[in-house]
Amino acid sequence: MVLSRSCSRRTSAFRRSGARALAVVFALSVLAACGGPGNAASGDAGPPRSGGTLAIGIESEVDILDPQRAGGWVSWRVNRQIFEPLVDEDLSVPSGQAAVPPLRPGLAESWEISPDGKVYTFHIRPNVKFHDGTPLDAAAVEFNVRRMWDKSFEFYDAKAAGQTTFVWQHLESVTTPDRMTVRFTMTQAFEPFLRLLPQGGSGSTGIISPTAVRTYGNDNVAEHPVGTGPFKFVDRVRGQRITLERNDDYWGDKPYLDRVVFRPLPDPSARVAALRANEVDMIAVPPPDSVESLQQAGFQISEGAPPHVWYLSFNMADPTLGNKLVRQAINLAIDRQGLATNLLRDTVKPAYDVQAPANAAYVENTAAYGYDPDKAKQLLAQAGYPDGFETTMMTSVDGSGQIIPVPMAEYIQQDLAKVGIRIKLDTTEWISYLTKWAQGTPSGVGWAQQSWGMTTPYWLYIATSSTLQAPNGPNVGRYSNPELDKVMAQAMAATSEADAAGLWKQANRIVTDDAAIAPIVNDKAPYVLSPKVRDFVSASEEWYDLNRVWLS
Amino acid sequence: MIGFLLRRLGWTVLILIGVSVLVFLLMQLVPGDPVRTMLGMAATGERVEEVRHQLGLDRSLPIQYLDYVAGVLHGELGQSLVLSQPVSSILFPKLLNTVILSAGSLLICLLVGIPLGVLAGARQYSLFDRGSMFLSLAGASVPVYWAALVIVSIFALQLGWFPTSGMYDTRNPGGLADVLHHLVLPAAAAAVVPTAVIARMARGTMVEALQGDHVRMLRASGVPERSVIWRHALRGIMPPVVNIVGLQVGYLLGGIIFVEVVFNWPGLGGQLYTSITAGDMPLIQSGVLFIALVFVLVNLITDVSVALLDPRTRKAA
Amino acid sequence: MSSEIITSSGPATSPARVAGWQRRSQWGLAMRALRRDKVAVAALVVLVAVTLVAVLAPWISPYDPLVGDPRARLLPPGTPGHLLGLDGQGRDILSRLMWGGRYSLTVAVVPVVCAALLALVIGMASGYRGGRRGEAVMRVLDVVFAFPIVLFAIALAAVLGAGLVNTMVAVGITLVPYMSRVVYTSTVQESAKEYVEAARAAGATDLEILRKQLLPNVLSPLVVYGTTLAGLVIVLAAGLSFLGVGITPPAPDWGVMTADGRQVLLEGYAHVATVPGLVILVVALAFNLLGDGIRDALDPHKQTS
Repeated sequence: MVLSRSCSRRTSAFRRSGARALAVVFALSVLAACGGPGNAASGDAGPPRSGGTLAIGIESEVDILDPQRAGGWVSWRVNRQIFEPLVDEDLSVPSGQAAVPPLRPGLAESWEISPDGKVYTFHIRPNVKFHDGTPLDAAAVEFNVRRMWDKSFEFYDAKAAGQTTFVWQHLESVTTPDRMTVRFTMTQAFEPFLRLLPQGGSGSTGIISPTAVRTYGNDNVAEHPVGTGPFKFVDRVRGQRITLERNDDYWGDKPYLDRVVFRPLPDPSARVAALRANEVDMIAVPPPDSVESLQQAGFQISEGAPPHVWYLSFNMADPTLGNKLVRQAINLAIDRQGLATNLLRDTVKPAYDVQAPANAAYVENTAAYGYDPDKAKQLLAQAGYPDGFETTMMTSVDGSGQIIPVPMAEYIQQDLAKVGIRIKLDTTEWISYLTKWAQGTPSGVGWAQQSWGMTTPYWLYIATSSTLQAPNGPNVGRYSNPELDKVMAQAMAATSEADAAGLWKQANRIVTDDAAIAPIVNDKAPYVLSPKVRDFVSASEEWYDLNRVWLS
Repeated sequence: MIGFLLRRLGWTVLILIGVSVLVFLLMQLVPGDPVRTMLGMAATGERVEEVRHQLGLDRSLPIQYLDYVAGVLHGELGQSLVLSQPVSSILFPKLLNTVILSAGSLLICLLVGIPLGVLAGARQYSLFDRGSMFLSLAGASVPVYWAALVIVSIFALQLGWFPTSGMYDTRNPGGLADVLHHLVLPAAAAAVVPTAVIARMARGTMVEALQGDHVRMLRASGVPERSVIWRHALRGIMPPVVNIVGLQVGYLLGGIIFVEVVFNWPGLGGQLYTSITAGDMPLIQSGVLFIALVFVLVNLITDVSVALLDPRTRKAA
Repeated sequence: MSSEIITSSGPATSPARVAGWQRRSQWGLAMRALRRDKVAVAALVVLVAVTLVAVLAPWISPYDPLVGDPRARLLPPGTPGHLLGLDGQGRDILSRLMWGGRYSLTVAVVPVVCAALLALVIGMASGYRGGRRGEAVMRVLDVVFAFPIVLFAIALAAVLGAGLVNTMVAVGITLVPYMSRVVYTSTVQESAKEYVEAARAAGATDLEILRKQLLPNVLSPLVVYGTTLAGLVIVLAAGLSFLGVGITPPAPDWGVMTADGRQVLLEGYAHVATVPGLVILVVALAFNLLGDGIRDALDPHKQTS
């Protein structure tokens, strides 16, 4: 395991032009005066030191500290420090070394899968205690699973079940053969299961202390979050802060930091201001235009390659967009590289597949998603729209993972105008947008935009399966291809990860050939850190670990 | 006086009922679905229905409303749909924060607005008068979020005198001094508009008061101008000024949402904005009722003090 | 942006002062007084100029307001060919400002005019011989007064969705109670005046009295009030756009432009937000100053002095 490596050296784009050299020299000399080198990875900061409070400016308020009910990446980034799943992802490996984060044991020390892929047996890690002293055992795990899945269970929670539907959808029974063993039996082989366990974007399977649930009840336990993770909950002032402190009894690598404070700063300029004023040590989602000047001021940039796709779902019911040639033309008419470089200052990468690169099934396809306006025009003419057409694009004005959706939509609008496609923007504030989006693209709307993705290729099923057409599921363009459904069913029932990956790649190609989705960019999820923050790692995930981070 | 008070209280109750019905009806039309907000992008339609049923959102509207009213009468404000927490535990701290911010702002308004208006009024058409009135008009014409950013960049980033946002220090929160330190900039930003209004109002009434027979008599009998203005005329303009100050309190409580957003001040306005977009009915209902209640109470206090200051209004009312 | 500016700068005292004036000569005198008021004339000139530029935008704007050069983003004012610089999408700010007047001025004027018309009907109907019924209508409007105006506009905008028309509807509805109150108050005051009695004694019908006697007198405070409101509405609408419930991008609305530009305000590109912010300031100020001017012009004290 590479623990002491920050990815800031690897990915930060110090585009030092001659004109900028002076500014950089100046920034460095200021830093030297402060007694600290500018790069966390430079290794001359000595061995990690314990102590200190890390203050993080996060991009929105965390909804609730109930990992099973909570939705969204922002919440999981906090919950993850308190709660752990059975199987985890190793986030100490930066994106550059692992496109997909390797799986590692979490609260399960080891596991076996039956040859038919239907029975999962997990051996629970011994001598682990929840923060309230409750010992972790098989019964505690079963309690949590039943909370998310068993309608007849006393502590069944419909909200947790709603969030985690996809994880437990094929679960038939859960048993505890002995005190430290949990066995899941599925109705069918379900290869994505292990990768789904450490997911946290919409609900997670983080294990909560059963004592806490019993004491505070399903609703109130979020105000008294008790897990097994490296940090313990201290207090929360809504709209101001969530404070965590080191769990000195943690079973794994104990954190260096005494405390972590998450401070919601939804306004991007307010985040930057707080960082510059040293009120926080690190911020998420810096405005792209601030990155360069922050770097020049001595701050570090840490970027990764999380499983993130900023994409458009075409409305298949629309008479124009129902035409495959039109959709292909749109895919070719958007200058993804230009968008990434000019507007977003390389804080993102152009997306060349429906899956993100942080995914075993990624296939780069520049032929389908490259920039070729001439061919786009040809395709449009071939489709019967030589003079283009008019339609509407739906997007939000803000939101989790959305980067800067409106300027991005405006950029796309300008690109499409060049091939004759005139689009109107229909923008909505994020929370309302989520509702509107989930209802499916209404008639008159050509496509709806969203940001999503997972490290398991299974995400494609959620986004494109014909059984999950809106409003029943997140296939908002109501795309349906029986061939695709068949391939994805095979992929899910595969018994090896390699077989599954091959089938998922095949699925990607089908979606690409149909141009059902237009992937636009993959976020690098930049974080800006003060020079004293050390060993923060951007792995290929939407969230991060903090137990190896220290302050110099 | 007692009859007057009783009548006003009666209206207060009716107005609050009206507000609650209006809010309830209005919110039914907001597109945000609280269940969708809770369950996120991956939720299936079936699961959404399950939770809707659990929360009682599939019942008819009048029943939902009556259920809410019954709760309020029992002192129960209900639970936030999205946050699964009692409404009172979310709203009371935020209401308090908004009150703190409003009080800070109001203090600035009074200390700046009234003297400015009085001085301008006393020297009608002077350079000072024209300049200060022009400035206050300009103050009222600036988008608050823009002004707030300029204030932050000067006083927090360039000069480093005050924190950029929030209500407490991130690493070592707590203490009155901490809150006061954080209060200055947002209170100043929120005060810009009402200060302008108060100054203009004070000036207008001052001009009128100085043209009155009473003042002419005082001046004729040799009372010094300074005393005419600060003792006699000022007393005369108090009723309308108190009136307008009362209205500003109402504005501050409900209208400082932009300042709360830019300064990340954890107040009621920002909370209500989030709740409105999420369709979190119990939170919105109670939040708006809080504001309406404070607003009506402040109006009541204002009217009573105006009546005490100026007996003529009492008879008219 | 504030309800209380709305209730405060309303000419609560004007109708009384104006009362007794011969209505035919009143407007003539007012016009003459207004022409002498240099500040008001300057404000009027600014507004007319801005309106002209907005109307003529298609012919005089140097660039397309919606199409930019993404490689030339955020260039400062004074860049050759781009007097006021370029915004975050590489669009010419001057061109956007010219076109933006079409949105911002529409948003400022249309809701105010519509609300004024509605307010005239509601206010006069309940104010003229309305008695208890009229008072009851006003009390119902009190419900809206108890509801903070910004939140009310946000809620309405959230209900209706973003967009130019919806923003105008939301703002317009928000204004109705305030304007109705002004009309109501002056209607009640005027109704009690001798000239109304005289007209009635001369055999005029209610409708005739309303139209010929009351309307002109009620109109003057409403015009003053509405002019001031237009300035506020520009700022309020900008705030709604800032929260994402107002006019939708890429429309070159001034509020949208300010909201866009604030993201880079602290990054050394202050002009993107500041230029449209100043335009909003100047136009809002012009409306306010014009409102003041009209009020003073209608004020008999000042006309005679």
